[in-house]
Amino acid sequence: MERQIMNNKKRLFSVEPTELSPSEVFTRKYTSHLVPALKKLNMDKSPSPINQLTVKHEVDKALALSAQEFAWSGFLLQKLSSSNNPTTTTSSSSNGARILEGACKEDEDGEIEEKLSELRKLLPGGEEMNVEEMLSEIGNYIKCLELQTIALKSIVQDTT
Amino acid sequence: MDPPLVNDSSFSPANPSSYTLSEIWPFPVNDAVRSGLRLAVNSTPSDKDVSTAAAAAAAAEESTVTDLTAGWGGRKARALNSEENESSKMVSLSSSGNEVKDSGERKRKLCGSESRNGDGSMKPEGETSSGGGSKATEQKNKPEPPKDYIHVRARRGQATDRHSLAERARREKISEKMTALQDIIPGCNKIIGKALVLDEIINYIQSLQRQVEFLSMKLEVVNSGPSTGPTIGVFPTGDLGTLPIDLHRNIYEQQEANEPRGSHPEWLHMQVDGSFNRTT
Repeated sequence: MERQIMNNKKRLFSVEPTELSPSEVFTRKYTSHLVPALKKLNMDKSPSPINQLTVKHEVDKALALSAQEFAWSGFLLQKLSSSNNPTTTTSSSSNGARILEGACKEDEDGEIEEKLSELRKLLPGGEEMNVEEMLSEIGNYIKCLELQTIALKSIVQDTT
Repeated sequence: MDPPLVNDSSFSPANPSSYTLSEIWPFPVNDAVRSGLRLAVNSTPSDKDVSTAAAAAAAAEESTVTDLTAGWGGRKARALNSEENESSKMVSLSSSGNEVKDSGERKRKLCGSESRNGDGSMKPEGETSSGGGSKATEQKNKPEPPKDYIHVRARRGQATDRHSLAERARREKISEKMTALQDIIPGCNKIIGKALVLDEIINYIQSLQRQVEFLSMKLEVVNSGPSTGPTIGVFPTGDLGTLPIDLHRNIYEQQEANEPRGSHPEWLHMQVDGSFNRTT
């Protein structure tokens, strides 16, 4: 049943009129990467139980593949291919560390530097960029993350 | 206030502190600019005068003179005096690397504050003026080589050596990008201060990433097949046909109504609870 849904999704993409806004382009690419990957995961259930990590892996991979014009996507792909264990995104521990360090350092520039390094950790590949590049990459990373959440929400809603 | 420094018919000095146009600016000037200069040097400037000066100047061949005229609408002879010192060296509002001296700074301050009024005409002339400026600087053999044409306004009292200029340009680029980010992130417009804005950005990215994680968890539950997930009803073919279109419509509708994500975890919580009830 689900396979049929996914096949239909794939088929009907081409019939729709082509629109050129970049967010739509990204969303199309994203769904066209993710949905077949999920389908494949679904079919290959027998060798190993589907764990959360694999799906997350596919999700991240789809994100990286749909946004290849940006620098961070290359870094993300590298991370994904190097380790099968995708990077955990929540960093509550580092949050605590940040607050502590922020309280200690009274220097304003120091605080800003702290936050910038925090940002670097969040962005894939942020460690290797200088500040200017990182700021522009962060802009489009945020946009792609937003689109990704919307796409994921829709996929989840449509299959429940 | 001061008597008008120039009168209509000619530019013969009305008082010793004013100068003829030819002394100030050796390059040829056409009538449009001359009238523009007349308007601009009037002792009671108004924005209208500045803009007419700018408009007249826009038609002028020598765009460099417009910097003079529009920039100094209503300035006194002292300003003209300082310009006369640097007569062959054109004040280039836009090009950052041309001016070195303190008088250059002063001029830039004057021109800078005035040019904010007549801003529209300034920038396009910046290119040619910097071209003329670089030519003029060679005459005066300033040690400062012209940089790339970034629009940097030096303020009074700030150093004009190469390093601080480059740093200032870099800082301005960074703050440009910060303001661009502020536009992207909801609720960031009202926040002032780099540190707080960065805080917001960090929180936003973290919440987005957490959302993605939740959703992929949910997706994993859903994707593991109809046996373990919540009971997926039989989809009538009508729905199947509209499903992809709906998917896209949902996506774009949600994109339009981008509300804060605070409520999201509860929603997910409810759904996941529902699904777990069925599996156990």
